[in-house]
Amino acid sequence: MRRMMILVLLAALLCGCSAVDNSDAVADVPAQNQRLTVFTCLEAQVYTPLVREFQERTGIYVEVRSGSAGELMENLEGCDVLLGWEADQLEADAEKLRTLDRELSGNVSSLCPQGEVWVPVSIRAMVIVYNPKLVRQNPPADLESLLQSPWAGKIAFADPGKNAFSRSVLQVLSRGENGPERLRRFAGNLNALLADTEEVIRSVADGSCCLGVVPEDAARLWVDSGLDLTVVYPQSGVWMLTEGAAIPKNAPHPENARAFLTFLLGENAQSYGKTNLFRDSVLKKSVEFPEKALIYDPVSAASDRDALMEQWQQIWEEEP
Amino acid sequence: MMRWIRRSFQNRIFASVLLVTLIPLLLCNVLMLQIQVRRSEEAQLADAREQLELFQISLEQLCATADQVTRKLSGSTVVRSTLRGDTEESRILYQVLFRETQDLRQSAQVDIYLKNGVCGYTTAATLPAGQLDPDWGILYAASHAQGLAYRAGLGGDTAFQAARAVRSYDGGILGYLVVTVTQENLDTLFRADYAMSGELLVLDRAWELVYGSRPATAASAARELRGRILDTGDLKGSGDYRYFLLQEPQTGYHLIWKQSPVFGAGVMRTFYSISVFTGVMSVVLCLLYSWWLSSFLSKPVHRMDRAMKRVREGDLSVRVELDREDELGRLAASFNRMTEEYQNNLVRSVQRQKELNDTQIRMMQAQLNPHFLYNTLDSMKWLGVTNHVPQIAELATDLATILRASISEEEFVTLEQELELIDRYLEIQYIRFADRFTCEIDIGEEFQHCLVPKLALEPLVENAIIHGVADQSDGYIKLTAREDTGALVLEVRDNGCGIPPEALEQINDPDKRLPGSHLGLYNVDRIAKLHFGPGYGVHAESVSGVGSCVSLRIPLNRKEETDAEPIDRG
Repeated sequence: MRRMMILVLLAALLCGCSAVDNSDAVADVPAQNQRLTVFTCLEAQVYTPLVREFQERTGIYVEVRSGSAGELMENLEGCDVLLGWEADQLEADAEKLRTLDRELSGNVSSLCPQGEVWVPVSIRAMVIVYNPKLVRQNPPADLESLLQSPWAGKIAFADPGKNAFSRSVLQVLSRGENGPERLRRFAGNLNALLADTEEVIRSVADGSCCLGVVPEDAARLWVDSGLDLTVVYPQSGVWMLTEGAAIPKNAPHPENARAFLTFLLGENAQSYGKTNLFRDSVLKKSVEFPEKALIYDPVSAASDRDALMEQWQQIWEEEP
Repeated sequence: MMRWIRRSFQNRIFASVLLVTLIPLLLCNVLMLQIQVRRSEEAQLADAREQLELFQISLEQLCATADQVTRKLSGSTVVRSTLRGDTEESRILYQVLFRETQDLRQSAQVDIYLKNGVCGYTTAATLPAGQLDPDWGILYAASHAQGLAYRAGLGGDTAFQAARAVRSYDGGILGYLVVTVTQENLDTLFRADYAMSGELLVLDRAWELVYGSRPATAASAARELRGRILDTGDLKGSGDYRYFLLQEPQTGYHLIWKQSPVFGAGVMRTFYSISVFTGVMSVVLCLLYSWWLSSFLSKPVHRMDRAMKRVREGDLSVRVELDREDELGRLAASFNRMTEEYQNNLVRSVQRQKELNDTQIRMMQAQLNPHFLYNTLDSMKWLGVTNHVPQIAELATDLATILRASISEEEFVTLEQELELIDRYLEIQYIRFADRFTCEIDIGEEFQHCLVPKLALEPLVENAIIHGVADQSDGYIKLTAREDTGALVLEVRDNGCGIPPEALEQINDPDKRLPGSHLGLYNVDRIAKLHFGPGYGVHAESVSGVGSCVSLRIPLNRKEETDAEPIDRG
């Protein structure tokens, strides 16, 4: 009897202590097999329409984690797709990535570099942007002109330690004879190392710097949004950089990841990217390169990357 | 714990009072707070649901209107023929457009897109502009939907779009009717429905933001919600806000009402702090009160318990004084009466026993006199008959002395006085037994002042005479005294025939004494034991044909050392 009373009292206390359910349980939570996690170093205005369209068409819920390529690559736990990586970086970290079947990139043009563990999803030109208010005479014509002394301290450049596109720029500049000297001269003309491409464009637009080297799509998007910038396609040759996507080895939803890559390599997505995101298509049917296009080889760039970065680090530390 | 409670009456009262006072207090403390919070939350839930239903109705009406308008327009001959390219007369189309969209234009913008995605006609105040990709976004959705397709905006001013494909009779697409609802449109739509403060979020089927009533925080709130839903499957948050959910069936959009809890985290912390504080105060006060009450109630019980313990230890003088008129007071009074009566009974009992002992002693002493008197008178008689001599006067004198001593009230006399009585006694006995014996008294001076029971030696001497030397012609009796470990031993020896063993046994063990035998020795022994204890009394030794020795052992007390009659129970 005594124990019964104690139990009754305890039950009364517990009932009194339990909180009201303050919200409804969600009925249509996506099942685990209907999810996809994308790691990307693209800007939100670039990946959002792609992700949203994919969600609407397939019903797969996409979580996006954005950040710098280096930070994201350090921990790929939970990642299903790497999107918007420079191809040479994907090539350099190939041991973390899953081998993709050729069928996936069956419609990709042979002009575009491809890898075993990554597929090209867009091609971007390396362009120069400058502030027309600050540069009126002798605007830069190509990458070689960036090594000249009049531009000392006036060039905006994203930190190649964090930005894969900047590494590609250094790769291009260090080609040929006197590569280290060319890098040294380029370093001498830099104003500072900035965080990302957006900051480069903004610093040129607001007059902090006179010019910068950026991907074509970023330059076009910002010009389209109203910034007063001039875009220059290097006369000596326009380097075309491949942007790729890959699936990590431990991707929790590899089928959904494959579906996403298939979507990205579909005509609709490629057409949308070209029209609205200024990213050239990689498909056989629609690939178009500008005149004097130079195809950047990500494979050889990947093998030289570590040495190049070491050299650059040394040069930059010596720079006063 | 139970053992501690059972150990003491005070502990039982303490535990009981503590439980009875503490449990209701704590229960009230906890339950009232929880009930108050629960009721408030339930009321808030009901209000929130009501609010969401208002929003849902407004959104449903908007969508229904959009559906109705686009359906009408897609069936309009003018629209269809214009989209087919049969006519380029936009004036009539615009008339139709504005007429049909009259109910909708306050809440949305309606555009007509050609099949290539170019915007041809609009209800907006500006010229039609822009182009949409037919293979992407809202146009793609419309081309793949049976009726109205919905797509959330990608940021900017557009909240969501609804579109219907205008199809030819063979199923081909002629164009699209696109209804664009902006953030501002939804602000206006929902403004009238606000009944209380809070934030409205509209999320699409993929939990992406469509609309937020507070644009500054809407994006971050939507991101947080989406992440939580995908992780945990519900909207429960960290407690800063409460979320209430309702889904609009037509669009599949989730209407979420975000509101501060009735009692914020700070307020709840205050409630809990107060609750804990009052709980602790209750515990302390209940402990103190229970202890005081239990002490107050059990104090008289403890006093009586201690008193009874002292009674058990033999102290009957203890009394419990309780100045109360209740049951405990009456109990204490009864206890006092009981111990007092018990004490008095004990005293009376002791007194009676003492008187009994005294009476027994006196009776024993008196038994001596009649026996001697009979023998003396007998002796006197024969002497008078035969000799007509004055010894009879001597006999009478001696007898008188002895009689006086026997009836005196003193229970103890000095040995010197006792030996004088022995002398008188012997004089009488000498006459009776015609000098057939001699009696030597060899007692040192140091013993003369020792106290002995009155007439204690006569029976011993008499025994020696009657049972020892009476049948002899040269009987010899000797009285001696010695000290033995603080005791005075008076011995009477004779050279008689000895005491038979059975008689000896009866003398030395009074329990085996047969009635009537050796009464004198028995009485002396009883007197000695009554006065002095079992270690004293009479002891006899005898050798048949040689003689006997009867000794009397008493404590050695000299008259000059004490005035009172010595009683040594040894």
